[in-house]
Amino acid sequence: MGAISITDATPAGATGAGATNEERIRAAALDCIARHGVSKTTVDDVARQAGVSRATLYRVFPGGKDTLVDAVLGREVARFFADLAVELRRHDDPEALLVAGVGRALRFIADHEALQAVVATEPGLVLSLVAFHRLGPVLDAATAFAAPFLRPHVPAGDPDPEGTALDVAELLVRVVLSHALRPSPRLDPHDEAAVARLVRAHLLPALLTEPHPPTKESEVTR
Amino acid sequence: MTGRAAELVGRVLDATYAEVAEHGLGALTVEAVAVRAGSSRATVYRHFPGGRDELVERTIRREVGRFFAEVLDAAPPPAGDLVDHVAGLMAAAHRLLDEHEVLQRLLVDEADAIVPSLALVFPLVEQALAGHLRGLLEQGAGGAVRAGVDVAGAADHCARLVLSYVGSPGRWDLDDPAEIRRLVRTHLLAGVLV
Repeated sequence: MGAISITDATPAGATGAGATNEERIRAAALDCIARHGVSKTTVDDVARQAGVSRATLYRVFPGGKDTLVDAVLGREVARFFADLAVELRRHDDPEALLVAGVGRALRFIADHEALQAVVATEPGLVLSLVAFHRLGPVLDAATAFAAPFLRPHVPAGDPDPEGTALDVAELLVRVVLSHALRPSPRLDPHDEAAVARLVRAHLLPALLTEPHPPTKESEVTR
Repeated sequence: MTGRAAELVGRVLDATYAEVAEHGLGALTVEAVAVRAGSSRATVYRHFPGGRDELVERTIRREVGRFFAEVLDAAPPPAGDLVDHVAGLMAAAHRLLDEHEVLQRLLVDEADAIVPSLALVFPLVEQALAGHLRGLLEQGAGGAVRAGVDVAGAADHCARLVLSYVGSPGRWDLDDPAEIRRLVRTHLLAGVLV
């Protein structure tokens, strides 16, 4: 997988006869958002696309559009982490782990049609989820997810290996988020060599650098 | 633009800022800005055909430019230690953001209105900062830069992270200069410094 297209990535049958109304509505919402963005998508659009009535949609998502958008967002975030976890469990070598993890995360985001439509046409909406104090909870959750995968690679002798794993996890999350919001021409997520260059040049050194003596004792001179 | 027109534009942007500071972003009208600037709606529209949105956007752009200049001024000179300089930039930006009463009030009271407008700020600051860092790295930062470093890539990477950490500090205490230096040396410039 990795490449996410809204239609083939929804769970098998999500749009077919076996799908529940909830699945059908969520898939339809992603479709509508990919085409029109979030603010222009209406409950009617989604109901029509899903082939259900307005009443059914409101029965499944009682709050209407807001509840639906939250549910879709929550579901896509869960899918993102599940996809990433599968990839991260495959690698024992730290460089391979970072290249695969950062690459997979960036590709999931770059190939997510609905998310890309929102980033392109409603950047403020995305920013309102991840800018300033709003970033805190996102950062905490993503950092807590990634840190256990990094912990085995923290160099021996680090006085606080758990803390270092969390610090480096946070760094990786920030790099991915930054490139998700503002893609760089120098980092095509589908160009594995480019991802590997970034990892080797800047991310691996942060993980593998010999621990510096605790800062507070060694550096406070004032 | 003639001197007179430039002066008027400056006065209108001052008035926009003052109106937002006093009454918030939601309440901003072209009319109020015109009155405050001692001008007329028609004149304001002549210089800002985009109306209210253009007033907001250009005021934000000007504020960002001023903010960036202030941050550069407050940091230790770039000629010295690169870690000190970058850490100083981050400390100054963190402090100035904290002390920016208008921004902080908007982020609390009108987050949904102001944050989308800030979408244009991030690329602006990022580019300016990356350009600045690139210049420093190209000069070798007093021999501190590892041979063979892709300077443009390193500047871009570091600028993105400076913005990220300053915007939301996460696990780091940006009021502690020693902690910022550790962050810069071990995370932002880990692969760049000798």
